[in-house]
Amino acid sequence: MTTLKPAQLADEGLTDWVWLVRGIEARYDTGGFARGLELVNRIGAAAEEADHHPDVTLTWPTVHVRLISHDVGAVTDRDVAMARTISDLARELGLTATPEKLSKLEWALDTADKPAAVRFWAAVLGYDGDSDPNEVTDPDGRQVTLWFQTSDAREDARQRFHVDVHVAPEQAQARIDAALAAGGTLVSESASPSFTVIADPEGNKACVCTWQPAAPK
Amino acid sequence: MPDTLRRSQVLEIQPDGWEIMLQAIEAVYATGDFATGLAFVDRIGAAAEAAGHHPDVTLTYPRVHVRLTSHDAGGVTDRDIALAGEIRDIAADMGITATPEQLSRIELALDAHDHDAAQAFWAAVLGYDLADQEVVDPQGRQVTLWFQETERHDEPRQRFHLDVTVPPDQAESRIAAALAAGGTLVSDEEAPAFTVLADPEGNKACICTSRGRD
Repeated sequence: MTTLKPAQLADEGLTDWVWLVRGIEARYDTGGFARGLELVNRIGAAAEEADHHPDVTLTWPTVHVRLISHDVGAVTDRDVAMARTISDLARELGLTATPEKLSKLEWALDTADKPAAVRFWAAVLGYDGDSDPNEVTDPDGRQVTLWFQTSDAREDARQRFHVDVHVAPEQAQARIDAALAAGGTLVSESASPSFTVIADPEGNKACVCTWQPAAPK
Repeated sequence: MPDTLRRSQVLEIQPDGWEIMLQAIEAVYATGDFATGLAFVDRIGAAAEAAGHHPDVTLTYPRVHVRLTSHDAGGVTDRDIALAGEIRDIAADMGITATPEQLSRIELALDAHDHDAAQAFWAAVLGYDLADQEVVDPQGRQVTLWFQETERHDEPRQRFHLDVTVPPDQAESRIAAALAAGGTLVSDEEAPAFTVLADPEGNKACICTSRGRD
């Protein structure tokens, strides 16, 4: 198995595919759910045959595919082979790739203590914090990655960005407890269970939210 | 257009394993392997086609995630509840278990003094659509950014920023769109690996590509 770099991918002539952060992605306009479903089915059959499995998102007008070799955390020749197969399947169905519509959003946090930041944010987001010392990721690859950039320690900055984590009401307490156990502090529960404000060890805030209204005072 | 249901109504009738997540209901099923997930997606797809109502479905090796909302009504309607019920029945028939404890949905929020200016910039830089008080991924796949009113204040040292990786041939037009929407160029020293932009209030985003890295 060979791992690839972005420049090598360019030599493969995979025009449907774009290198986005660690994986490669393609997006097809399907014009309707039925054709999208047909594409997903054919991709699925090919994936089973190759024993190599993409992450696939089917919506009414699109199919989105992401390929990475999870066992090595990189793009390999297996991904290139599967990408080529998927492009062929899409072409057989007359579907158009729309690489110009692909972009991947990541979110970054400056921290003076990376291990502490990883521990807290993995807990509060319900993410995997064990695979990489520099980031926490959604185990399903569906939601945004948070990565950490080393900075010097400073006084609390006024914060403009924050994150809201919506969970089912019966899961909120467990999530809050996990975040506190991972070094967080409780900032305010005056609006709980609508939202509970917690801070990471450096004072950056997250809200654990549910659909329930704040309890009457 | 059907009426959206109130949360209290959804709660009474939502099928087991489904949870309200903002303006949608979601479920995640532990399928265990790709083939089972694919067969499940296939049956969900057939039910969706029969109902003329379509979920967003993500198939990964160990799980299938399903999100239902009525886009035309802007919330959860009877159609979503009905299709969720069918999906629950299909799962039960296949011996697949819902794992609602794995559900969570993340949103980013930004304090902004001038909402219109913030919205215009962030829609342009993220390639998102404008919505009420927020900007959203047209595919519904990526994280929503919403804006919270704040008083005018000095620019703080920023700890969070956003990175937007785009195809290399799209970077120029994305940067141009963000500048046209009121952004400023902070640094292109590292371009095309990344170009640093700021919104009208000084919050930073990087337009990143796979070029210019080793």
